[in-house]
Amino acid sequence: MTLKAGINRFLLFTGLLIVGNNLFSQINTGRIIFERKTNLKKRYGDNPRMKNFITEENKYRTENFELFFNDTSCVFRPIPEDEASSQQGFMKFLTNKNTVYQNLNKKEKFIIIDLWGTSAYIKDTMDKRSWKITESTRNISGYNCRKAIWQMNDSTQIYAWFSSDIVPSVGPEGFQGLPGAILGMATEDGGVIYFAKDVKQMELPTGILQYDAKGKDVYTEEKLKVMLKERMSQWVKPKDLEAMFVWL
Amino acid sequence: MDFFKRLFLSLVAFFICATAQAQNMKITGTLYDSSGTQPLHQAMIMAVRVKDSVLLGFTRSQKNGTFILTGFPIDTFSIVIAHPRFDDKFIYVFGNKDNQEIDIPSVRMPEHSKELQEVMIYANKNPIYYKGDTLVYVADSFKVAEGAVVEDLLKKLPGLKIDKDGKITSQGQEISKVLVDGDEFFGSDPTVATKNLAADGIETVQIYEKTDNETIGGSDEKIRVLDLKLKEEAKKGYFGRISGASDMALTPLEDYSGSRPFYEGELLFNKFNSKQKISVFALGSNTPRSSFGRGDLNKFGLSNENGANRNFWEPNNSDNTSGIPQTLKAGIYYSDKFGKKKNTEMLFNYSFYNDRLDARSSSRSQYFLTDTTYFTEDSTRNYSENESHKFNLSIQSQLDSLTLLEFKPSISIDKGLTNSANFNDFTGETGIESLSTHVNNDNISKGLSTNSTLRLYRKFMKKRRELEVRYDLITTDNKTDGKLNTSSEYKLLGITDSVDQNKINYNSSTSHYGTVSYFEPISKYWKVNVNYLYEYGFSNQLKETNDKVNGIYNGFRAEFSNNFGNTRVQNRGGAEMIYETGKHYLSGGLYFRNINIYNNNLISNVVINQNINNYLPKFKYEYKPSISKRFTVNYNTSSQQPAIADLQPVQDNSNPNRIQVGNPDLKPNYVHRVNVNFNTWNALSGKYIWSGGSFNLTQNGFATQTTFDVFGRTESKTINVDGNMSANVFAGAGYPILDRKIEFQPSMSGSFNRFKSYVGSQENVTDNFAITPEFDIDFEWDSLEISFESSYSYNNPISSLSSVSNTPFSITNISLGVDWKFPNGVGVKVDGNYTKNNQPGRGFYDTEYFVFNAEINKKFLKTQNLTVSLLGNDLLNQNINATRTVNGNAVTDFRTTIISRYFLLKANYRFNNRKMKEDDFKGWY
Repeated sequence: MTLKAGINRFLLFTGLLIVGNNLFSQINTGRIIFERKTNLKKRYGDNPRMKNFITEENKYRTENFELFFNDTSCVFRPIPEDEASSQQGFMKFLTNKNTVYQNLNKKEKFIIIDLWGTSAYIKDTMDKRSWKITESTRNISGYNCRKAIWQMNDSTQIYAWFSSDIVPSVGPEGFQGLPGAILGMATEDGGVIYFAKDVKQMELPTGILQYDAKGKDVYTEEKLKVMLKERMSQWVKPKDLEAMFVWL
Repeated sequence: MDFFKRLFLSLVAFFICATAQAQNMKITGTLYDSSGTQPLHQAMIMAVRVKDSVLLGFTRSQKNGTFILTGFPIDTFSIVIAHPRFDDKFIYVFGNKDNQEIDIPSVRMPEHSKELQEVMIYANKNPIYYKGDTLVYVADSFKVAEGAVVEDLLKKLPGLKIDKDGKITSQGQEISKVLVDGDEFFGSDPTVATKNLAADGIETVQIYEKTDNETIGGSDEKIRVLDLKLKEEAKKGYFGRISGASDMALTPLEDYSGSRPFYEGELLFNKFNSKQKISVFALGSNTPRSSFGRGDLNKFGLSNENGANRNFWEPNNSDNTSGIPQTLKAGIYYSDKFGKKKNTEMLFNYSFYNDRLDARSSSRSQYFLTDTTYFTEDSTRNYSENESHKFNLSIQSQLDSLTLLEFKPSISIDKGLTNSANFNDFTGETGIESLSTHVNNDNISKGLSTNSTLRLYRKFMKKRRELEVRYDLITTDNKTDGKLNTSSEYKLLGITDSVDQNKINYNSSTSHYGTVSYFEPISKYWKVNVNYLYEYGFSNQLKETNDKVNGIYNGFRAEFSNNFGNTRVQNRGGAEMIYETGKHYLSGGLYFRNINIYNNNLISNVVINQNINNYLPKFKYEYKPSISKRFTVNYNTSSQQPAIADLQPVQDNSNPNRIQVGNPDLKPNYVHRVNVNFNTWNALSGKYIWSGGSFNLTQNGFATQTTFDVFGRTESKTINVDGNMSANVFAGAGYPILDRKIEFQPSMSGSFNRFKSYVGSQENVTDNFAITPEFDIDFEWDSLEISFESSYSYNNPISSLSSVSNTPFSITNISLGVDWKFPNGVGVKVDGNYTKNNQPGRGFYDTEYFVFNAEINKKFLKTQNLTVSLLGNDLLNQNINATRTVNGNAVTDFRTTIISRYFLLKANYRFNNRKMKEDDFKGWY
C-alpha cells in the first residue's frame, strides 16, 4: 500500500466519521442561522393602505437571524444586513426584528422589541403554548424534524418543525416548549417562514447570552401591548399589533 | 352566610387541588441502548395525547438512563422515545386511577431500521406489543394469583382463550404448540408446560407462526405457536413449588366402598442457567383436577379402546375426565448446549405416567331402522390402568451458518390393563326386553413405539433458496392378552349362552419416510417449491382366539383368528408456486401421488392389491394489511389410509353384542378442505374480531355398515362412502369498555354435518344442523374479577332412514366465576356452572345441573409464599357428565358418574433462590 493510498483511506475514514457524527449525535450548545421570509402581501394584504406599496416584485422580504443556545439559555437576534438588502427603503419597517433572550431554567424571557426603529424592553415569563404533535417529518439542514402545530387563534395555525437531536428546547423569536430545537416555523398560509439554513455545534462567545436591562424601562408583555394599543391605535390596527406579539 | 360561602369555595378549591395532585400521571423508567447494557443519555421522551395529539409533556433521560415524565393529568397517550442513534420507540399508555404511576424499568431502544417495528401498549399496566408479526405479552404486568401457573397467566392475556381441555386460541386462531424458550417442554402435550410452569418465571409470552417441522412431507404449512420466554433470573438459579392437599378422608364417596381420602400433590423444581436446564416435576392426585395431560391416545394400538368414530355407543370413552381418576406423573427435563459457539443443543427428557381411571357410565341408545326401532340400555364399569415411560432425545447442531442437522429419536414403553364389565338390555319397539347380556373384558397390553427423525436443513448464499432432506422412521409393536367372558340371556326364547375366550393380539408396524423439499427463488416475490416424498411401510396384525375347553384355552376359533399384513409404497411429488410480499401470500400447487397397497391375508394367502393414483391440489391466499389484521383462504386435499384393524378380515367379538369385521377392500379416503378466516385486533382499543368458516368434503370416506339381528345386536364393518361433508361458520368479537375493566365477548357459530352410514344395505344420511350463540363478559377490577359465560346450542339432526330420530335438542350453559382478594391476604373464589340439556326425545332424559365450587385462601409468611386454602368442589353435589350424540341412525344419551362433592385443605409453598416474594420482580426486558 502506498502512502498516498493510505492517506486517502484515512481521509475517507475520518470523513465518514464526521458524517456519521453529524448523523447520530446530539447538540447541546451551538448556533442556528435562520432565514425569515415574509410575504408582505399575505401579511398586510387586506390593508387597503398597504396594497399600493406592496407589489408582486417586492412582496417577499428576507431577513437573517441567529440563535445561540446552550442547555440553560438562548438568544435569538437579527444578523445585521448588508447594503443590498437594506435598500428596501421603508419596507423594512413592515417587519419587526426582535432580540429574544430566554432563560430555560427560570422560564424567563427578555425581549428587545423593535418598534419601528426604537427599542422597547420586555421582561416576562416564557409563554406556554399547547402543541399538537403530528407524524409528518422532514429534514432541515441535516436534522430530522417532526412537525408540531400550535393553534394561534381561531383562524391561524403555526407549524413548527423541531428536531429532538438538538437537546435544548429553543426556537426562533419567543418560541420554545417542544422537545428539541425548532428549525422551521411558518404560519399556515406561508405568510411568515423561519427556516434554519445552518446548524453548527460550537462554544458560545462569552457573554453572548447576557443582557443588560440596567437603566431601561422594562415592561411586561401585557403592559406594553396595552400601552401600544393606546398610543399607536391610529397607526397600527389592533390585529397587526396582536400579530407582532404572537411571536414573542 | 358569607362565611359558609367562603368555606364552600375553599373546600372546592381544596378538592380540585387535591384531585389534580392525585391524578397526575408519572412515568418513570430507564433507557438502554439496543444491546440493553449501556444506559442511554439525553434521549428525548415525550407524551402525546392519543385523542388530539396534544403534547402533554417531555423530558430527557439522565446520564444513568433514568427519566421521569410527569406534570400532566391522567389520560390516554403515547410515549415517543427518540435518540439519533436509534429508531423511535413507541409506548401506549392507558392512564387511569389505578394506572397513573408507571415504572418501565428497562427500555431497550431499537436499532436503526434493523429491527422490526415495535409497538408497546400499557393498559392497566399491561404492556402488549408487536415485534414484527410476533405478538408479545409482558408477563409480569398481568396480575396473577400467588402460586399461579402459566395457564392462569394465559387466561389473563387479552385476545387469548383457553377452553376446558386446555386448548388455546389466540384471537380466534388455534395455538398448535406451546414452546418454552423456543423448545418443546415435556413433549408436545401443551398442558404440561401451561399447568406446571410457575407464571412468575415467565418473562414474555410470544405468539407467532412457525413452519411445522413435525409434518412428514416437507409441507410449507405454518402453525401458530405460543412461546413462553423465561426470565433471565429464571434462567439462572432455581424456583419451585410444592403443594399438597387432602380432605383427611372426611368426604364419603358415594357408592364407593370404604372411605377414600382425596389428595392432590405437586412438586415442581426448575434449575437453570443460560446453557443448561434441569427441571423435575411430579404430580399425584385422585381428584378430577389431576388430568393435566390429555389422554394418551393410541397408546397400545387397541383401537377397541379408542372410540374413534366406530364405538358410537360408547362416546367419550377416551375422555378420562369421566370417572374417578388417579394420576401419577413425573418427569425430568435436561437440556444443554455444546460447542465453541454453543451451536449444538441437546435435549433429553423422560416422563413417567401412571393413570388409573374407574369409570361407571350408563347410556341409552335408540337405533332407528326403516321397519323398526331398537332400544338398548348399557351400563358399564371400566377400570383402566396405563403406565408409560417416554424418552425423548433431540440433538440439533448448526454445522455452519447455513446448515442445520437435527436428530430426534423418541421411545415410548407402555403397559396397560383394562377391566370392563358391561350390562346390556335390548328392547324392541314394543317395549319388551328381548335380550340381556353381561360382557366382561380383561386385557393386559404391552407396547413399544419409536419415532425418529433425521433432518438436514440448508440455506444458501442466494437468499430464500432452501433445501430440506429428512428421514423418518416410525415403529410400533404391541401385544395384548385378553380374556372375554360373556353371558347372554335370550328372554323370549328362554335360553342362555356364554363365551369364555382368550385373545392374543399382536400388532406391529414400521414406516419409513424420505422427503426432499427444495425452494428456489425465481424473482423478488416469487419462489417455487419442489417436493418429493417416498414412503415404505408395512404393518402386521396377528389375532388368535381360543375357547376355554376343560379349563385350558386351546379351542382355536378360526373365525376370530387371523394373520394379516399390509404393505404400502407411496410416491408423492409435486410443485408449488409461492408469491410473497409483505402483505400478500399466495401459493398454489399440485401434487401427484401413487400408492401401491398390498393387503395380504397370511392365513388364506389372498392378496388384495390396490394401485391408486391421486392428484392433490392445494391453494392458499393470505392477506395481512397490518400486523393485527389477517384474512386467509386455504384449500387443500389429503388422503388418509385406513387403520389395519379396519382392514383385517376377521371378526372382533370383544363385545359380542357389537361385533366388528375388517374390510380388506377398504380404500384410502380423499378429503377436500376449504378454510376461510378473518381476524382483526385493535391494540389501542383492545377490540378484536375473529371469524371464519370451513367446508370439508370426503370421497371414499370411512363409514360404518351395520347389520342388526333380531335382538338389535350389531355387526359392523367399515366401508367407503362418498359425500360425507361438514361445514361450519363462526364469528366472535371482544369489546372492552371502561379502560378494559369490562370486556364483552359475543360469538356465534353454526354448523352443518352430513354423514352417511349403511344399515344393512340401506343408506342412511344424517344431516345435523347446529347453531350456538355465546355471550361472555369479563370484569376485572383491582382485587375483584368476575367472569360470566353463557351459551346456547340448538341442534337439529335429520336422518333419512327414520324420521323418529329427527328430534331437535338444545344445550344451555351458564357460568359465573368470582375471584375476590382482600387486603389482609385472604382471598375468596367461587364459580358456578349451570347446564341444561333439553332433549325432548321419546323417553330420553332431560338433564339440568348446577355445579358450584368455592375456595377461601390465606397467604402467610413475610414473602406471602405460603398459601393455605380450603376448597369445596361441587357444593350442591350435582355434577354429572352427560352428553347426547347423534350418529348415523343412532341417538345416544350418555352419562358417567364423576367425582362430585368433595372438600380439600390445601397448602402451597413456593420457593426460589432469591428468597423473595415471587411477585416482587416487576422488571421486563
